[in-house]
Amino acid sequence: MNLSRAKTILIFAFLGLNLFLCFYLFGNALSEPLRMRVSRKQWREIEEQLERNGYTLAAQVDRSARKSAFLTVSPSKAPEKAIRERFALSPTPLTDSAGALLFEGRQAKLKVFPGGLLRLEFAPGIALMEETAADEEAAPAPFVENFLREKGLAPDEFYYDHATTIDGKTVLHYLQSCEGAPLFSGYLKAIMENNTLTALELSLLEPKKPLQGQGMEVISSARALLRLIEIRGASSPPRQIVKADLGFYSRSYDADEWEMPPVWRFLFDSGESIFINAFTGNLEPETSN
Amino acid sequence: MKERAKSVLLCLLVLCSLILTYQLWFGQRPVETTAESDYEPVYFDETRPLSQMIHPQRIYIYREEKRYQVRRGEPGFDFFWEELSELLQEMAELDYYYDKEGLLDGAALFISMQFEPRLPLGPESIWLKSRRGGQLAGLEIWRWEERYWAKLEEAGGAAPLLLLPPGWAGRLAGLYDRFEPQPEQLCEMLPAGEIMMVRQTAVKISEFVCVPAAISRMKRYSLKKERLDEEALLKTFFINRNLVREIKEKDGGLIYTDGEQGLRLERGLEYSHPQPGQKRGDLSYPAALLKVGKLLGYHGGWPNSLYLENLERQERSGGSTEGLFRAQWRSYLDGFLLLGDNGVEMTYQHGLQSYRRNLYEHSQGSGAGVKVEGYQDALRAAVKSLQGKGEQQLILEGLDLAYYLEGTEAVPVWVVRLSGEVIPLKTDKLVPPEGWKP
Repeated sequence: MNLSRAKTILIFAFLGLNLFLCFYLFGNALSEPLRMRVSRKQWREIEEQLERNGYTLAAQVDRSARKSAFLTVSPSKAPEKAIRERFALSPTPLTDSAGALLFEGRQAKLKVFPGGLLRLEFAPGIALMEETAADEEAAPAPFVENFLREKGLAPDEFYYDHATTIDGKTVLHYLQSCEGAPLFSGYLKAIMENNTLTALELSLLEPKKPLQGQGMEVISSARALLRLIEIRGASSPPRQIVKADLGFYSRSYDADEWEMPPVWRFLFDSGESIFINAFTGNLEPETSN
Repeated sequence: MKERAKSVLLCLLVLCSLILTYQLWFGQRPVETTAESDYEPVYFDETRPLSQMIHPQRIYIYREEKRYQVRRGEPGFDFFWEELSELLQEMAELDYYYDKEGLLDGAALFISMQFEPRLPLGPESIWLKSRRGGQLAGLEIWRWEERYWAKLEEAGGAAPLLLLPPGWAGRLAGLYDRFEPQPEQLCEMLPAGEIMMVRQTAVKISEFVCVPAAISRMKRYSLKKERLDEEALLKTFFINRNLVREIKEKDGGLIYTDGEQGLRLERGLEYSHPQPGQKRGDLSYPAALLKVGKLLGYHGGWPNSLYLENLERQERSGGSTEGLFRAQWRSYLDGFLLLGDNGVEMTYQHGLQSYRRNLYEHSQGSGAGVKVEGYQDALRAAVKSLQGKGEQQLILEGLDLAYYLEGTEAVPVWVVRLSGEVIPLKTDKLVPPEGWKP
């Protein structure tokens, strides 16, 4: 046998061996994003079960197998300072009975709650748009975003999520995101009345540790929907689930830092959110922000 | 040229296969696909037997018309209790021992003890198993020459008298001989009646008040907080440690929760689980004793200086008492109760519902002795402190020495129980200790 032929045979043999080793070592990781946890048939059954219990799914739901980990966060102090400067609020706060600090100014007053939540109230409100433009709940969003940008109150991490209208007040809900995942406890609410911005509520969190690729597998969206039915029972009249997302949520604490579990958030057409812990399948308390 | 490229490629492939084989052999582990449960049964102490869960609240020994109190934690206490506990365990058929004739003239009281919480009797218990049930509140041993009697004071009010078998006479005589009275164990029984105190306030002495009569100095102790292995403690509460998240509070406290149950560590530990179990059904008193004792051992352990002080049924919101128990333990120091912000409290309802534990240990060395003023002075000071309430007649329910926790210092105090009020007074200055609120 000549040497050239022997080399060719060895090249193919080692190529095959390397491919086999690569597949063995990295096969799982490579196929992970493509892995579907719930088959089409199973998904149809889930949808039927939801309908039987008075829930309609009107949202795109991620059916793939996902992993996640706890996310460590702490309340951010940055917005408070920025707001006080922008609106020339008094440097010395008053304290109310609940322990919240109250900074007052000519146009606005800021309440800083012990957990880190900020509520900025405008008196009088700030007219942002013409009356005729208010034909949809989400219509004021661009005007609000312009205002927030002008005032330097629109952190890049926030994105528009949904809007609700109750008793003539329209509330635009923005959510904070971290590495592409929503933080449902980090939010900005713009409260509008008669096309006038009357208040802002802001809870900005600082994620402490970057999310790690290797976490624990979370329950599937299908399992979370079944848990929703178990926990909430059948709904009458029927309710529509308009959003289903995997993100992070926990109630706020008067703490330096805390860990948030991954949750499945189901948003109903009424504006109510339900958070199902994506590790345990239990309902996370304080169901709406 | 082509052959050279082939050689280089082959070398690269060989090198690559070596690296991958190395990785496979020593390096990368398979990707975890599920939340691994690292459950392993972790506990601090083995469950105590029932005989070591309940101890008499006090033991009195009578000799030459004098009364001596053996306190919890003192060397003779366990010995006396173990002997008498065995006696109650061995008496299977009580019918054999009932003595209808009663005590003989000249019989003298030898030992008496009170139980709080009560001693369970009956088939579920280890004491007097032939009884259908019931609870023992007290026990007296009487003697006349070689004869010994046991008088059982049951919770319902009955007080049957039992003539003990001759085999026990020898053991009880041995107990009597072994007891060496110490001067500080001497007690004085306050005579029933009324004492007139300052500003026309009368103090009525209830039936049975016994005070330490010969303690002139007590040590002051420096204590340190109990330190438990936090990781082990977490594993006793949470089956899957991976699912537990941590919250660092501004005051330095740490909260661990899995969304259903929560554990807070700061000054001791506080645990709560609003819905601990789905099981329904009631627990008998002995079964509840075993449950709470087991839980205490598991979640932090049961130190020797800690005694069960109370176990009672609690009323639920609907008025029912089914399955809901509250237990309380207190620490003792040198045989004296340690008052103040310390101890263990537990609520059990189909599982551990709430648990608060804040314990202290002896630190190195004990402090200097503190003078103990007489009990009459303590009583006078206590009455004076209550005079603002305008009561003309007070009832003395108890008067004893104890320790009170001031920060991390245990200071000796007189504890005066007057008409439902508990008044601790420092033994030297007869003023309330720091941190005490009426």
